[in-house]
Amino acid sequence: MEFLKKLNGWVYQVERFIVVSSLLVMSLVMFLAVLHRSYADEDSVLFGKIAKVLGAERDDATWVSMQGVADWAVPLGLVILVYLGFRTASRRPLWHDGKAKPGATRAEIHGEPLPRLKCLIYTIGTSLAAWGLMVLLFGTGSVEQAECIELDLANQTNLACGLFPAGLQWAASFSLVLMLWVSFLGASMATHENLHLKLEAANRALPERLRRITGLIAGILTACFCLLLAYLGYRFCAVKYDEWALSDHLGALHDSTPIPFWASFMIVPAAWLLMAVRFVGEGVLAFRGELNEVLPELRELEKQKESVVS
Amino acid sequence: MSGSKLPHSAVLSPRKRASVFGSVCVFAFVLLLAASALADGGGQNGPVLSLGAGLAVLFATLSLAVVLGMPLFVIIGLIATSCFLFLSEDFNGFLTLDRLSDTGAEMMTKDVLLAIPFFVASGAIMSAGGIARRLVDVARALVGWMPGGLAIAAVGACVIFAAISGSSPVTVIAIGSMMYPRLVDAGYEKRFSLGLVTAGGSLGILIPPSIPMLVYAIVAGGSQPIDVAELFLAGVLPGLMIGVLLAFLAPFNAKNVERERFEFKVVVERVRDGIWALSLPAVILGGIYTGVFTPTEAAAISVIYSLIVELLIHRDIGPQDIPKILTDSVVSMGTILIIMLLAFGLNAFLVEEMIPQKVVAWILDKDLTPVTFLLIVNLFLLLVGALMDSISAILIIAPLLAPIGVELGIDPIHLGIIFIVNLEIGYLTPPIGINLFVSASVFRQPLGEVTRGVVPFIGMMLIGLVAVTYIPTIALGPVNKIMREKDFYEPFPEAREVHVMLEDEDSDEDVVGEQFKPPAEAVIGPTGERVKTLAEIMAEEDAKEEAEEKAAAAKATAADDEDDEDDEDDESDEGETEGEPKPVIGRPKGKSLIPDDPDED
Repeated sequence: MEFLKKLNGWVYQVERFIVVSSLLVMSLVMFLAVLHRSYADEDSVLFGKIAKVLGAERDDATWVSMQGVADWAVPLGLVILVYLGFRTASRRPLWHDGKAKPGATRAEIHGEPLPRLKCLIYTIGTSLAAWGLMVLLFGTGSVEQAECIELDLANQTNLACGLFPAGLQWAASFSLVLMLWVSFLGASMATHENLHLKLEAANRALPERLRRITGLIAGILTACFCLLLAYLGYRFCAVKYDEWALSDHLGALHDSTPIPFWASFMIVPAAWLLMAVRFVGEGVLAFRGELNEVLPELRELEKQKESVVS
Repeated sequence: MSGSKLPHSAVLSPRKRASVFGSVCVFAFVLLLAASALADGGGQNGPVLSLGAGLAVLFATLSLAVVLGMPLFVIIGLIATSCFLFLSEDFNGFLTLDRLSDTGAEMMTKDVLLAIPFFVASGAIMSAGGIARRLVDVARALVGWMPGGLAIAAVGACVIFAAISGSSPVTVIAIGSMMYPRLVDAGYEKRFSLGLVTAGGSLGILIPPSIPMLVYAIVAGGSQPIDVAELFLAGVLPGLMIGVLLAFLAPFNAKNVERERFEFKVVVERVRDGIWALSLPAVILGGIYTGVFTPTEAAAISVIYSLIVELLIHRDIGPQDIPKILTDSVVSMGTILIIMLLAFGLNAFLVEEMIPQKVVAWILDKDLTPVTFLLIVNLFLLLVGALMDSISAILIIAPLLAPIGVELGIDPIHLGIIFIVNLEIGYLTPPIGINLFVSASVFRQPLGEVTRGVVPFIGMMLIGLVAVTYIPTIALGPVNKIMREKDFYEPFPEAREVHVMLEDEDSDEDVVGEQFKPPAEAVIGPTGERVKTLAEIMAEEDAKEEAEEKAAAAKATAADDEDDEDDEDDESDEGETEGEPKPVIGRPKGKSLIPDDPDED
């Protein structure tokens, strides 16, 4: 039993690592995709909208002049934001441990703002670095995008094109694949912590001894249902694998990515299987009366209370 | 250890009776609707069991699952699988269940889904830092001078915090634990203060970005796609209105309370401190409604924004806190998503069997107008909200009620907001109201005391609910103005004569599945939106044909670029609503545009 618990804990840590890094990658990729769109698009959507509010039609004089304003106003706005960021930033050490001395006032924790001159220097440095990063990623814009894509296809590199001359069109599909993994692993982790939403109102009304038995039965039945879903997931993957193999690895792919469906959906049967095992474990814990039954929203508070008591 | 027992021991007795009754009621209602609908039609091709036997099996399984306290996904999954296995008309043995995987896989291709983990994560990151204190400070500096100023500030802080965190219980914990002691110290009555922070916290799901709204948009969009951006926008005014209604009680309870002094210098200082937290909702909503990014992208941006703000500017958390915060949000995301997957399967079954249409026909037989329908929906949802968690309630009920609303001429966005307001009240009503438990536990007060405290606030919220329900302009006005280019005023839907099912029963539209759209009378109200989507497809199709007829070389590249831009954006693209030409509806060509159902033999 102890070994099983430990093994469960290890698996949980692996899941946690995958899930946290995937979530960060997902948001970064989506963020870069939006960034590329605004960077590569010659027209500013925001200023186009402002022009429209002013009553201008697309491509008429006001609209064009507003776009002219956007060319310098947007970068300037961003630079001002960075300056404000430095000016209002807390003076706590950057990678501090997150805790402050009890009883410290705000001023003691966060300190005086940086001097203006320093902020200005930092702002210029940061803005230049950010611009350099954009050029590195998406090119300078001096070479036509189509040309860059041709060069890319011919396996030649041109520094002016950047790493992703065509942007990150695959961002959404790629993030969806990661989300599939994140959410199924998340569901499996929720089983580990007994955090699944339950309709347990009726069950709670039963006497304690009976509840232990129903807990065991519920765990086992839930596990059976998970197995059914794992099997359905496996069948889905098998069908998609056949499609992929028959189409010479060109079909059954996610939109604008080379990732085949079967590979991304593999997590579905795997996670249901893992959940099935964990639900059996949960049933056993319920039978032994060791299940953590505090409402999810209150777990953190309970932990704090316990730590205060101890 | 005794602390951990508190929530249960305190609640067991009131929970006991009402919950059993309630859970059964909710399912019984869903089943009854299905039964009454299936009783008139279908069945010729032979479901594997007769209707009565099928429902008996279903009901027995469900009662067992409920009594055993099984997870919600199992219960919804059981409904879905048994519907497919026992009640589906084209039964194909065990293989019938493959449809469940197909609908699940189909759901996983919806971009909007991505917004859920992103918004949950960004809310968690922001809340983990000290933004609650910053927001409270700003609110106090701004409104503290008014009569009842501190209480109004509490509501204001709740509104903004809710917009950032998107979670009701978190708002109660963060803002409540800061404001409750101050309110009591300042001389407000204990019970009033408890009620105020508990009720204020529940605003979280109504003010965008809100997770229940995303869930609603995904699961209720079966018969007519729902634009998340519109739903978010529709929540703003009702949210503010209910905020004002809650704050309205403050001056009457502030007789012995000293007011704070208004100092412009303090306001500037505190706004400066809180500016990064205050501007997150502005960035998200501003970005979405100026068209700079879609709601999904906004969610991703808010994660990066909150990471930068919390780690580099506020520095209230360190990088070592990030894994824990993200794990928590992923776990809650995982539990919701698997339920959604299975609910989506159930949704597909309902649409395929045309159950909403059948229920509508049944409702029209009973001479229900939109007014009475909405009244019944409100009463039903208040009951459900008292007995179930809000997301679960949306997952189970929205797929059924939303198409019915559409058939009766009620805008799905309007219905969505009605849903959310009801379930928001559900956060405050015993026996399941989660905010009550959180409050009771955080402020160490008996549950009864908290419940009594929220009663006047529930009253105010009910006033808000009636207003939101029967004055559609409150929800739809901004949507009309900003997204649909229509008049701000939205009339209440009139009762109309619809005989959907009699006309359509013999056609093969049930196999067309969720793309089914009755082409008739599709000009006004919510259906206007739906037709435009279809119309847009048609218009594009026409444009393509014309383009093919012309010489390819002569084709202007500029127009092409525009098309590409439109294609890149996801379904929330506001281009749909912007003055597209309306082609004639109902011509024979329209049918061929409806994608084939994958299961059609």
